[in-house]
Amino acid sequence: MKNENQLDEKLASDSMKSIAKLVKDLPEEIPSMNWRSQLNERILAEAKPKPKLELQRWLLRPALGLGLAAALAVAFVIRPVASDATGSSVESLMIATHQDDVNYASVTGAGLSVSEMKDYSSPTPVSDPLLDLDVF
Amino acid sequence: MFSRILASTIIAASAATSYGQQRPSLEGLPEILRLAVSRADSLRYTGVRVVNVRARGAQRETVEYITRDGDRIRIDFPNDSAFSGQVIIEDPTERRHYLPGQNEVRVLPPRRGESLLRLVASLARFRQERKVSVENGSLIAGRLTRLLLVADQRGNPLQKLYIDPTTGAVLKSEVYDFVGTSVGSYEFKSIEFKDKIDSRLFKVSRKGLRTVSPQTEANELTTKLNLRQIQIPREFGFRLESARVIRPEGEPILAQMFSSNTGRLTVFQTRADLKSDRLSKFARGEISTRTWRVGGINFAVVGPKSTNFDRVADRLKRDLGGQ
Amino acid sequence: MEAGAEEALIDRCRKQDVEAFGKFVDAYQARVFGFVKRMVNNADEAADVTQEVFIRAYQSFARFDGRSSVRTWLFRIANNLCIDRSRQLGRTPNSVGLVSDFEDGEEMDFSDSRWQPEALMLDAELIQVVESGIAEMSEKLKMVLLLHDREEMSYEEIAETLSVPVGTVKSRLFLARAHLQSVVKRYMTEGGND
Repeated sequence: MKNENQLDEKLASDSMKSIAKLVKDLPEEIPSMNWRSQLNERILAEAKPKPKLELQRWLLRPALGLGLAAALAVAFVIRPVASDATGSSVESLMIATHQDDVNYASVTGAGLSVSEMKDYSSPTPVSDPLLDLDVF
Repeated sequence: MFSRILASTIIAASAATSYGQQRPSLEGLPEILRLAVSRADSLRYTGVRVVNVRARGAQRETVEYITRDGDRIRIDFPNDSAFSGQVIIEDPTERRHYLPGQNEVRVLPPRRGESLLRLVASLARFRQERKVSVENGSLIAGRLTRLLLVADQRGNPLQKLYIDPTTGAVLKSEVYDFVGTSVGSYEFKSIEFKDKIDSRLFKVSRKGLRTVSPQTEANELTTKLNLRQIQIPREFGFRLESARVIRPEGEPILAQMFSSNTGRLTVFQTRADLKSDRLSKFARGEISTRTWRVGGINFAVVGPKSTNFDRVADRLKRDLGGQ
Repeated sequence: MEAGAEEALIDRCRKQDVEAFGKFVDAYQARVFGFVKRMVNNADEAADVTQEVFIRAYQSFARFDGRSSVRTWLFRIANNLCIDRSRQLGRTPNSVGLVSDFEDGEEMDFSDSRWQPEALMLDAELIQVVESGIAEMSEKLKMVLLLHDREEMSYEEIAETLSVPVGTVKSRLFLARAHLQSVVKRYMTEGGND
C-alpha cells in the first residue's frame, strides 16, 4: 500500500466489508457446562484464603520440604493433574447428571424436571390439547 | 464442578426434611420466611410463572400456568410451548404427569415441597455458615415483595426469595451455586389469589390412557441394554423418579434417579470404564459416591452424604453381588 | 452489558467477588473461547487456554487500572496466552504469513461475475471454508482479523493490545481479509456454490 489512506479506502470497500461480515457471522460456540464447572472450581480454589504463615513455616522445614518435593515430583510424573480434569469423562458426566437433577428440583419444585424437559418436549405444539381430555 | 456440587449439597445433603416429613423448626428464622412456610399448604391461586434453569450447558426457559389449591397443584403449559397439552397434577402422595401425545400418564413421587422446606432445613443445619437478611424486594407480579437473601460467609448469595408479605407466597426464587453463578430461577408474571378453586381441576382422565411408572421404563431400558434391574428396598424410603440413558461417546450409561425424604440419589450402570477415584474427585468429597463392578458392569451411586446413603449403597452392592 | 452495570461489575471483580466474576465469565466466555479456538485450532486446547485466561483475569483483576477497556485487557491476556502456548509447542508458522501474495500498489480484481459479496450467505459449507481460511493464516494476521471483524475492536484498541502501530494493524487486517477473499472466491469458482 502506498499509504494509510489508501489502505483505509481498500478496507472500506464493499468486498472487504462482506468478508468482515462473513467473519462476524461465524457461529459462536459456548463452552460446555462441565468446562464452566471446572472453571468455577478453579476460581473457588483461587478465592480460598492462603495457608497461614505458621503452616507455611512448618511445611518449609528443610527435611519435610525435601520429602514433600520428592512426593510431589512423583505425583506429577505419575499422574499429571491437568489431564485429570477432562470434561467429557464418564465420571464427570455422572456427577454433572446428578447435579443437574438436584439443581433442577431445587428450582422448579413441581414444575418440569430436567429429564421431563428433555424427553417430553413435543416437536410441534398440540393446538388444543384439552379438547380431548375429560377434564370436567 | 465444586460450585455445583456444593450448591446441590446444600440442597441435597440437608434435605432431611422433604415433602411429607415432619417440618423443621422455624425458630430463629426471619418472620417473612416463617410466614411463607406456614402458608405454603393453604394458598389458593392461579398464576403464570417463568422458570429458567441452566442444565447440560444450556439455559432452558419454560412458562407454566399454575393452579394451586392448598397442598394440590396443577401445571399447564401455553399452546405455543413444546409442552403444550401436558398437565402435571401433584398432591402430597403422588405426581401425575399427562402426556397427550403418547396418551400416557406418568406416576411419580411428589416434588412440590422440596424447595422451601429444603431451604429451611439447610438453614437449620448450616446456621453458623449462612447469613440471612431481609430487605425490600422488587415489584413481582404487581405485588411489592420482601427479599429474603441467604448468603454464605463471604456474602455470596445462595438463594434469593421474593415473598409477598401479605399472603406469604414466594413470587420469585433464585438459586445460586457456590461461586454465585445462577443455577436457575422462577418468577411469577401474574398471580390471582382465590377463595376457592374448582376441585375437578385436579382430576384428569382420558379414554385408553396408559399408566407408566418410571420402574416400567427402567425395566425396558435394562432389558434393552442388557444391564441389571435395580430396586432400592422400600424400607429406605427412596422412590424411583426417572430412568434414562446418557451417552458420552460409545458405551451407554443408564442413570436412575431416586428421591426420598433424605435427598436425591442417582444410580448409574455402564459397561464403560469407570474409575472410582476420579468419580470421587469430581464430587470433591462434598457428595458421596460409591462404585463397584459385577459381571462386566460398573455401578456407581451418587448422592448426599448421610448414613442412609451408605446403607443404601451397601444394600445395593450386596443385592447385585458386588465385592 | 450497559456501561454503568459493567463498571459496577468490574469494581466488584477487582475485589475478587466471585459472584461478580461469574457474571463477567458469563458475559465473555463464548467470545474468548471462540477467539482462542480459532487461534489454537483445537477445541480441547482452546478449552484449557480459555480457562487459563479467566484464571489469570481473576488473579490480576485487582491490578486492572481501567486505562483500557476491560475487553481489550481480557483479549490481551487471551492473545498472550495463545502466543505462549504456540511457543511452548514450537509450532511452525502457518502457510499464510505476513508476506502477502499481493504487492504494494497492486489492485485486487474481484470483478469475476461469480463474486457477489451481497449474495454470500453463511451456509454450513461456507462456514467450513471461512474457518479453514482463518485456520491457515499466520497468528499475526488471524489475531487482527478476529479482534477487528469478530470482536469489533477499533484499530487503536488492537494496536494497544498487540503493541504495534495502527498502520500495521490495518495492513495485517487487509492481508487477512484478502486471503479470506481469495479462499472464498476459489471456493465459489471451483464449484462450491454451483
